Amino acid sequence: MRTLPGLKPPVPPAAAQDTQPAPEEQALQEAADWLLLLRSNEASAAEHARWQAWLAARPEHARAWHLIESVTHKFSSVPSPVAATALTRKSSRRTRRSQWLGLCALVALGAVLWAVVGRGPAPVPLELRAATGEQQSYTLADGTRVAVNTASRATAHYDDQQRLVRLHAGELLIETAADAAAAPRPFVVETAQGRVEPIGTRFTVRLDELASRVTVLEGRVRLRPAHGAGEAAELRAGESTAFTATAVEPPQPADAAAAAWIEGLLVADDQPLCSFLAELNRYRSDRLLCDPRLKTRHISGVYSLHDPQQVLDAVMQTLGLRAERLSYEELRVRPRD
Amino acid sequence: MSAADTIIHRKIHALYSDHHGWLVGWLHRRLGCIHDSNDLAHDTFLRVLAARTATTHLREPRAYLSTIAHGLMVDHLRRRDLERAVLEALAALPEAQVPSPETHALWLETLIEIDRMLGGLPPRVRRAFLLAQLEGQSYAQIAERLGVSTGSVKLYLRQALVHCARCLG
Repeated sequence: MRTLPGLKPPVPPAAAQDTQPAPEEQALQEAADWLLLLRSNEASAAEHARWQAWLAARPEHARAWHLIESVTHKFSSVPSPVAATALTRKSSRRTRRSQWLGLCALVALGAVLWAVVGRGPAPVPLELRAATGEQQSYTLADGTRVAVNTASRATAHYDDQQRLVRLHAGELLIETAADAAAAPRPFVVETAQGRVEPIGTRFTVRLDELASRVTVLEGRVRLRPAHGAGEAAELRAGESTAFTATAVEPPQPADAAAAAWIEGLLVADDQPLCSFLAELNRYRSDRLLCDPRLKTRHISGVYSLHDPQQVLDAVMQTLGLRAERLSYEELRVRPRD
Repeated sequence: MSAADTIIHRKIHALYSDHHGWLVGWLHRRLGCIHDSNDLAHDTFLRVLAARTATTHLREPRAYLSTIAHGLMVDHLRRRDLERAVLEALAALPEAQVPSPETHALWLETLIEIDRMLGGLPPRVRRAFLLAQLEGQSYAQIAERLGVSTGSVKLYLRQALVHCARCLG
């Protein structure tokens, strides 16, 4: 990744999707800052004068200001109650899905009621979740800390037998605390594929489509596939592996970048471009498709997850790529012809 | 028309006669409406025509067609959702404010454009931007609603403005 003198790392100035040069981009950022300042009603007369001077200083300033203003004009050309209803709607597909979830929840509630009859109510599990593009952190009752990565959901079920965290989707980083209870309870993370049992440790668990991936940063972790035969596999600090419901892959040295998301960074070290884009998809509300011609390309760099679009722009600029929008939800990344 | 154009047209013609029926069926199974399926299959082939060069070395024509058709279908469904939401919003307006059909159509087009612009933004940025643009909330109010600092809100709004301006530019 190139870094230009005088500009802040880690992300180089983003070019717009095609060939817009960097000064235009700079002007857009400045125009946006001016608009935000002026709209906040906190601008002094002197600032108004400086804004006017900025506008007149260069033709690209005036162009950028015009563009930024036209964004707000778009909004004001539709009455805001109408726009608000339309733009904050739930899509019918999502609504249908949530109806299903509702039904599933009802079935689950039935199952819970069935299970607790005669045993007293079970404690309500604690929801741990982060939306797409967000990260959250939680501290559980025993002091265990859980960082939740983008598009992830887990539930914590603590009782007097065990400290159980179920991962339903996405990725967690867990820093376990020693249990202060008189009879210390084991800590367990459960995924669709099996159980992860840490021994005083810091580790990540990530649920992919077919496997759970575990990376140990400190301490040790035992892995028990749900239908595995024989002894649990053990993973040490600096090791990473994936397991399915029946088997554990041999451990590999952990990718140093596996937990970079905690710092809000996406790190690639000679990573295949298509897998990098798939990773970036976890932070975007739309989906990037990798053109087959890019199968052999690799990428290295440190990117800030703060703005996934800027990451894409930077990557495209560095590698000479462009993005072609196929639909609202899909963009194809391809070589610039 | 050049010789190359003629070849491309012949290939697209062959693509059409081999796969059009299959594509309509594919869309019909997903949309459940034969009328929309015919329209979208038609639009898919228009896209293919517009892309021209891409069709000369198609190894898996059906995968190619269904990728384009899927994109169009998602657009179609989103547009339909948006249309429905606009109708709902209009029904709630006092009678004196109900717009003419022309204005209604203009609003809809603008909203589709805005919706498309907002597509690439992280959800939290999108939410902050909509609160500022549509409800005119102050940075402090937005910060409270989203549980972040006002500094973050300003960064979100700047990111959204620049992103949308790029889409327009």
